[in-house]
Amino acid sequence: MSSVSNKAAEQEAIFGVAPLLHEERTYSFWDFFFVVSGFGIAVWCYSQGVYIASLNHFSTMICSILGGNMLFMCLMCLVMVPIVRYGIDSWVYFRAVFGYTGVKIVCIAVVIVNFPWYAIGADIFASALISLGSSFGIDLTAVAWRPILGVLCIVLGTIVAIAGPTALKWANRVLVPTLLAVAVVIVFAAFSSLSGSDLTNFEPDLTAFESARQAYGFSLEGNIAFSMSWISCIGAMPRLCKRESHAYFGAALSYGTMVPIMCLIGGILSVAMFCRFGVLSDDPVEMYAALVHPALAILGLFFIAFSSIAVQGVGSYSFAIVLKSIFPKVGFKPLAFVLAAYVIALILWGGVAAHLGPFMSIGGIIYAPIIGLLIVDFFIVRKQRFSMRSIYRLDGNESYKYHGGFNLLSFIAFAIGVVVMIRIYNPITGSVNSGLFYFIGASAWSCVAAGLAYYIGSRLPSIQNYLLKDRSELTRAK
Amino acid sequence: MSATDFEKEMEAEIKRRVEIIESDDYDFGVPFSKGNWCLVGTLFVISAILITIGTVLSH
Repeated sequence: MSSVSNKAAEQEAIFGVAPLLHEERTYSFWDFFFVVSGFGIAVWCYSQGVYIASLNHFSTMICSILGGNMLFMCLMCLVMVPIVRYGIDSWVYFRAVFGYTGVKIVCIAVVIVNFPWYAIGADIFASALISLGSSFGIDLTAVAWRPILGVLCIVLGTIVAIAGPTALKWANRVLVPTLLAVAVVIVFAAFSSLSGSDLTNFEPDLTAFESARQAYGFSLEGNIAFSMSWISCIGAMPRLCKRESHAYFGAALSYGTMVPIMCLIGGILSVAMFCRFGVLSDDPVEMYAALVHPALAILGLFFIAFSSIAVQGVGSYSFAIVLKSIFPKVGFKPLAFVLAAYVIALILWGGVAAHLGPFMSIGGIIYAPIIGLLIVDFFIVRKQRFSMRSIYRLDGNESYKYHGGFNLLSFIAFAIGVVVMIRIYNPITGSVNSGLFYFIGASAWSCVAAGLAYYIGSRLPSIQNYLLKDRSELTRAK
Repeated sequence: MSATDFEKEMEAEIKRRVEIIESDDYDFGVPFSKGNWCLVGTLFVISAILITIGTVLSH
């Protein structure tokens, strides 16, 4: 059975690389919206909301979460257009931007900076089980049991992933209603614990910051980097959409509104916790257990624990498929095991949740320049046309080979984006180095700088010839 | 089916599909319209306004 499932995953990964024809598309706007929402709405939304709540008053929290998530989602989702138009996987299309070898490096970097989110999911799973144990009089010491239960979550999630698409389909069918049920209970619990004045009078502890404006800058940076992190999850799904607009608005409204609303719920829950107990908890499970009626809390904690496993399964499967599309000769199982080992190492380290802000910004260092490059390359430099024959290296067409498989201009522009990011805000040291940070964080400037550098470079005649070797073999689009 | 057979089958399938996409009568579907671009701009502006309001309120 497992070998059959594994074969199905292998086939999906390998044939997922082939372009999908227009008549084979099945997703309408609503289909795609719900699928993406199911993927995006996960337990870590609460962690994100709690982090943002700790930096803002209620009014600025709303502005930061809704505005910060949607702003770059509007731009990032434009990447959907070529994917739907030509029916190809995002990482296949990215070959044109980074080169045949360069795209592998970029893919690995993106997986490395994105996968730590699953350590947070595993941490929430451990926390839920510890609380459940406590409800039944079983004392599971957090220090000892948290890493053990976290590893258990990863192991169970990886088993679900390896079981293949059918197991995943069932996991997703249970996951989405479960998470929505948890969200409904959480909203009810939070609002029954609060009055309107509690929310508006909430004062976060900003003693670690120079000013409220600096804290707002950090929260904006957190939200923009959070929204950019979805670039790694685009994969092959959008090409199932019947129209380019279905994919664009399905993703933009899901990642840009549904996911932020879940984050906002996490933030409100955090404020509710503070108003009732005087503690701004950073643990969504602890808040859930404290605010919800004990009988309902037990059921909810069980749901949270289950959904954490399902999220891990979906994530492990999706990212193993992403890696498989880049390394088709490596087996699906070994890739899933490598991903599991990576998250387990992060769980044993135990520092991801404690360093959520810097961790998101380090992700932003990678995502932001990539997004700038992708948009400028397709819409401005290539004028929405490229060569499918070169994308797939058919009949000796290799326009995207560049220098040894690397598009040097894209990597130079990427480096410029990284330098700009660090010149504005260094996520490792946490130091703000420029006043620009206060307007819109640092990832946004990095995205703009990389895109601008790529555009300026592409205007030089010699580089134009280097970039646009595909002009003689373009695939007709409209 | 061996890995090599699988790869050959994959390559043949990709080539067949690319040829279909390159043919003159292939339907690419409804492209991203000007109305869609207007909606993108609207979402962008609303987001920018929200961020600006937050910046003003955080003073």
